[in-house]
Amino acid sequence: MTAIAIQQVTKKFPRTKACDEITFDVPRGGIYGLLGPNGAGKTTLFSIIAGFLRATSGEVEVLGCNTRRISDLRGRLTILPQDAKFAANMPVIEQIVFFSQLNGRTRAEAEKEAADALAKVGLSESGAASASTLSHGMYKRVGIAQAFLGKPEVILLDEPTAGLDPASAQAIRDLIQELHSSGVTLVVSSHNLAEIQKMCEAVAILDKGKLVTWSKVKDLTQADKMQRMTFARDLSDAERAAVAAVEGVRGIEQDGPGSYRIAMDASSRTLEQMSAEIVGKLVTTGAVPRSVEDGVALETKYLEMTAGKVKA
Amino acid sequence: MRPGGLTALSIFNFVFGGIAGLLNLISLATLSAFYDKFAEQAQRQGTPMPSIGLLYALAIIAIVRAALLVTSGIGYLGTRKLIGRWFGNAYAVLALGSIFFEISQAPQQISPFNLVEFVYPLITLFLLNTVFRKDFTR
Amino acid sequence: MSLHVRTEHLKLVSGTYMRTSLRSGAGVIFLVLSMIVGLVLAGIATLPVETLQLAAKNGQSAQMAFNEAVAKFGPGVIEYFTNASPDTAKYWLADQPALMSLFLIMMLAFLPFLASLAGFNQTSGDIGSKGLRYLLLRTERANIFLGRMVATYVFTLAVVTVIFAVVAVYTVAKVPYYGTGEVLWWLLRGWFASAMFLLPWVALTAWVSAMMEFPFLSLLISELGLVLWIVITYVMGKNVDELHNAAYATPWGYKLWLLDPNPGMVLAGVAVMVAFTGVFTWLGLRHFDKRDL
Repeated sequence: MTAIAIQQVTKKFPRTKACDEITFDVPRGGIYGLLGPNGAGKTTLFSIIAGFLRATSGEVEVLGCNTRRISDLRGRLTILPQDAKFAANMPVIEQIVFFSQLNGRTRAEAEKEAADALAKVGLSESGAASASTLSHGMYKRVGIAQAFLGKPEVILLDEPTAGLDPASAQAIRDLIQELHSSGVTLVVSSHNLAEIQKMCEAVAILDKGKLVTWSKVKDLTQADKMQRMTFARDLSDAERAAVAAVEGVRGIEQDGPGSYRIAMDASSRTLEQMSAEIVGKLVTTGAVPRSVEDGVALETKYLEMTAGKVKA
Repeated sequence: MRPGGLTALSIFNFVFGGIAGLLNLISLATLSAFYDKFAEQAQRQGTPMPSIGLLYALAIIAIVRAALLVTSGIGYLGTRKLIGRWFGNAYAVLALGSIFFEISQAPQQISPFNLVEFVYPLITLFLLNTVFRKDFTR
Repeated sequence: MSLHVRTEHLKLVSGTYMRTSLRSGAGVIFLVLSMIVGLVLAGIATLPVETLQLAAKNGQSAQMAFNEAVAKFGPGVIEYFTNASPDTAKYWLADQPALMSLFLIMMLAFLPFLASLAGFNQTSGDIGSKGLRYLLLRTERANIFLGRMVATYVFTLAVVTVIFAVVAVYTVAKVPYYGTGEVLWWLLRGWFASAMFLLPWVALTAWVSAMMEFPFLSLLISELGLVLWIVITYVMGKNVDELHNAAYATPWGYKLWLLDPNPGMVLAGVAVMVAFTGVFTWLGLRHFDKRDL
């Protein structure tokens, strides 16, 4: 069952085409990533899915409902928008209470829900403050708190951990996992690719408004087909031959000083079994791996796909 | 956190309080010098003239009101309960009371432009006790 | 355009918008300044009484002087400012309290500017800051647009009501030439006329606000547009009939129907105001529904 169906979505602005015939479906119940360089169209796509912007052409359905009637999804879809501002002169908790009341809660229920939401993001003490007095990180956390209100089935998070200190960022990632375990579908946009690689099942990569790929993270990084091992020195020919001779290893390739990509066939043995044997053989010759990673880093694939260009 | 409206209200307090305070201080200082002249004019026109004692009392009340306005304005800026909210309410109650007193004792002194002195305390009472009620935290 | 309006959401949006507006500096400044301007208009209207009372030797001669002044200058003033017929001018000057008529005519002229000041930032500021995005997934766009429009109307009408109440108290207390009942009745009719005349201007400002991302532009277009319109239709229209008739393309041209002696004209005026309100609201809703937020 599809959570979000994006069909040939194009969005033109007066001087630019922010989205260009983007098509992909997001299944229900997972955590998915949306990646791309600055200006790739990620926020525009989120805004179209949420009904903030009207697509020039194409259709989007969320939970089977066309987003031209976005109000039919009230309470089932929420978003952390990237640049949206809260009201400057109102305490943040009052604003969250207001949002909760719009979701159908009574005043008393809304006050409790707002207090709980702020507590979850570590802002219990800051409810009476106005948005204009909050730091960037606290502001972001209030935005996340409102995205978690109610019982949404789909949540769009536009850079949820950007600007947060490490502890807060980890707390948000934990919250995301907690929601995921209760069946919520989450789509996360982030420039922290390590975070995306760890959290997400699949990612869509955009570049200049076009969809470059919509793939499972495992397939992109070949996490089930490859390992990268790094050593303090380059391996000798004999050591390389010993690795290649391990059952299931299809090849070994150097991709940097002391760094080797080992392609594996996991049909008969697991990656762990193969890498244990490889390490066992190399240790006897004095080559102890300094690190072992499954697959290629998502960052490497991402940079390859977007050509690593820095937007002017 | 001080909302923009409270800042705006404090500025109005300073302006109104400053002007009213200054004008009434001048009245107080010059009343005895000009009272006889005004009394003569009123007699010619056949309109009643309040006593000098009453005029002194009204001027003093007006100065107290002006002082409360300015002090409460300072209190609004600091979101202080006592000198902000309570002094502001005291000003409003005193202002409404004194304008009714003036109407009953010296109706000829009231001009249409005094109507602002009637409306501003109402606005103050309304804002301090509804919109900004929870903002006075210190 | 989907027009799914929820009463509960309208109330929530209106209430929150009113609280947010009042908490902002702009809201308080609007409240105080509009009260001051309204009361200054009342002051100007009742000043002739004060002047005549001071100039006259006794109360009776002051009343005679007042009646003479109204009879001598009133029709000319009415004709210059309103182009009313002689019968209507007589109704305002002789059959109703003349000073209150003057106040009402000035008040009606002031109301469109008041509505623009009150409503220029209904949605434009939040469109520019994208603050509406927190609401868009929780309620329909129509509820946001209409809720804020209702809040602006209710708040502005409350300000107008206080002005009328204070003027009523002052006039009854200070102006001896009119009976209490006739003053209160005429002011009540004037309040009703103001309530009706305010409707289309609030709706127009809501539409303009929905078109702009910058509140300053919304204010500029609302206020400047009004000033230009008045200059064109009213001032230049004194010499050019076509320009004068152009006033009837907006609610401005029909405002004095609401104070007409003929109840049929009053009803027609109400219908015109409601029609203009409907048109402006529909245009604003349609634009707000389709635009990027």
